Amino acid sequence: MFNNLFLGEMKKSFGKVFHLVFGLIFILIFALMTFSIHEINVQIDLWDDPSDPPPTEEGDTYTEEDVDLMILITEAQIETLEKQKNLTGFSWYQSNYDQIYLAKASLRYYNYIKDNELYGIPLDYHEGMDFSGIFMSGGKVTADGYIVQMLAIISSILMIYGIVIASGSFSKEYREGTIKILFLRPITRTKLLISKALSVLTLSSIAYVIGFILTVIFGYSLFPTEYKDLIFSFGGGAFSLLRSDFQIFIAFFVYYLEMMSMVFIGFFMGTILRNRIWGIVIPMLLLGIGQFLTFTGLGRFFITDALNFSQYVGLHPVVTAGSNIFLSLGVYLFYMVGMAVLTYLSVNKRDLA
Amino acid sequence: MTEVLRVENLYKTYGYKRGYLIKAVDNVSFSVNSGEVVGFLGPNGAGKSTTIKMIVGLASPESGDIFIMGQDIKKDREAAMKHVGGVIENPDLYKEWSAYDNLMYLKSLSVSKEDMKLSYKQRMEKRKAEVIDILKVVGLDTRMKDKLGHYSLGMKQRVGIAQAIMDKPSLLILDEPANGLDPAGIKEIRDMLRRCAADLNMGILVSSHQLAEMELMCDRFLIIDKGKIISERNTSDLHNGIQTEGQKRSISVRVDRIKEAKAFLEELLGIEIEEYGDTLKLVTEKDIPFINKQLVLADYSVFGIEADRSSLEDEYLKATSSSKKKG
Repeated sequence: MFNNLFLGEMKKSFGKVFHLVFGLIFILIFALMTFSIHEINVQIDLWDDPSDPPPTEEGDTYTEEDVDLMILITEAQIETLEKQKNLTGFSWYQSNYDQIYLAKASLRYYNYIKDNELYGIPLDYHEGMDFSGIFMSGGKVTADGYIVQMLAIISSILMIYGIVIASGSFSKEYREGTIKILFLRPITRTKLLISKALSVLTLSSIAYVIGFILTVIFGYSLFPTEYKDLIFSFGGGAFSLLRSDFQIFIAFFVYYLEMMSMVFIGFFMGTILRNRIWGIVIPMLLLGIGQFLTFTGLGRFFITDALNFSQYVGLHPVVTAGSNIFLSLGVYLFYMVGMAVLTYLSVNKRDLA
Repeated sequence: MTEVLRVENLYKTYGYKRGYLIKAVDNVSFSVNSGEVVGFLGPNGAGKSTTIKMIVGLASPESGDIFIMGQDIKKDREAAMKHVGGVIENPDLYKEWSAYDNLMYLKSLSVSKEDMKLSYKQRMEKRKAEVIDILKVVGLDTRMKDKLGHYSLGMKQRVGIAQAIMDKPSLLILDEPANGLDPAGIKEIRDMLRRCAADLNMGILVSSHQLAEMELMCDRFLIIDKGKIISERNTSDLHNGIQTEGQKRSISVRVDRIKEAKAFLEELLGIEIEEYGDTLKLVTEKDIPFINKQLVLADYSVFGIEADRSSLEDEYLKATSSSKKKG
């Protein structure tokens, strides 16, 4: 019976006009972005000024002395920053750039080089979700560089797709009165809630995976493949030296998680407020509120900062002051579980108007 | 005859308004038996919809109990709802789907244990056959593949009823089922409901404003006003003029020597009697056999005595106006 409920929800979400329009918009943006990124490589091929060669990224090479010196400097820097933090007081938190976090990450990076004796070899590092570390020598965009960049764009577009479906999942039934017929069926409301959540999850995931497959196909057919070793950092602490295409996996999961979090905020809000428009608007509003809260020094306790997982997967992270991955995970779970509980109560306990 | 629905001391308020507690439903108790059509009447805002919503679990009572086929809906809503079909307020279904798709979907949400033993293919065939059957019953089989958005209100109403009776529930709850229907449509619905009650032994609770229609359809009436049940009558009692002890009723007497008979009865019953041509109209608590006997003994020729049929409308207006005076 549960699978029937789930299949019904999938069928309800599948509005033909909406999918057609959305599909066209998606293809248009996809084509434009692919074209403009590919144009970088085309321009480099046409480069004919030998006195001004295209930029290359060879990475940094360290000697043992360099690293020891950097460790000393960074330790001193951390000490100074800690003092500064104490002097500044609460206003230190009014920034979306945690210098202490960054310095500590650098310290761990140099210690990682020292521990693994990575001297005398060019090292490049994964610097968050941007173009860094994706240019191969000669300045061309590589396949994994293209894929990572496209995933950022695709996940933002598909986030809107997911939010539109998710926010209407319950609210449309309330508005059109069909919820009464469903509530009269011998199914528990919890099962209905779960099947709706699962159908939202499935549809958004399918869309995301299709987008991913498209990028991988276009990436490897239009862009040169060249790998180098990159240093990755997770949560500012765990370092590893991996092949550069590993960033595709990071980008895939981080963007997926960020997208799905926003989609589910839309699902929860649309259901709790029984209004599709609020379900769409609130996730967008939250981003603005998050920015505002950062200026007040409380941004790290807000959901939008907590679900910004990409800030923890780069070597040069831009982390909100005072935040760290454990605080963010706690805040994230607090908000998401809280909204899920409110949604459950709203569906199960609240009267129909 | 089994009790399909029992409502006990249902109570719900809508908070305070200008310092007064607004009681939506105030201590309402009643029951519906199998094979019986019960009319649920009352002015707008009397508490009809709230009561119905509480019965089907769309609203929660502050206190009181609801039993459907003996099952407490608070304890096991899913099990209780297996016995209920209904259309609440409007026949709202998925208008981008056809009637057939709507019913196939809703039917898929109530798969019985026996059906689970069948193979997927057999189950689908059975479901299809059942859905087509029910669409035939409501007379929509020729247009079942049309989108619901293209249906008239009357047709939507019939799809609504189709989904409600589809699983042959023990209790059928209909809120204003005759809304938007033409006279022929209303008659069809009425016949269909009577058939459901008689052939399938369903207990049916119907709310409506169309009193004349309800009078033809229902076996029993509950009249609710200001959240309280103020009158509960059987239709047959209403028609036979049977009234509760000590209550007066209106009787028409056709008799010869009308002036003398008028004086005789006025003296006998101690009341004033009106005269209309060859008929005397009197209001008394004495029954028809008694009056007949007295007239015959006094040697009058009696051509006919009948109780004036009290219509549901009279009963309804009487009940709601007296409740207004009390309120």
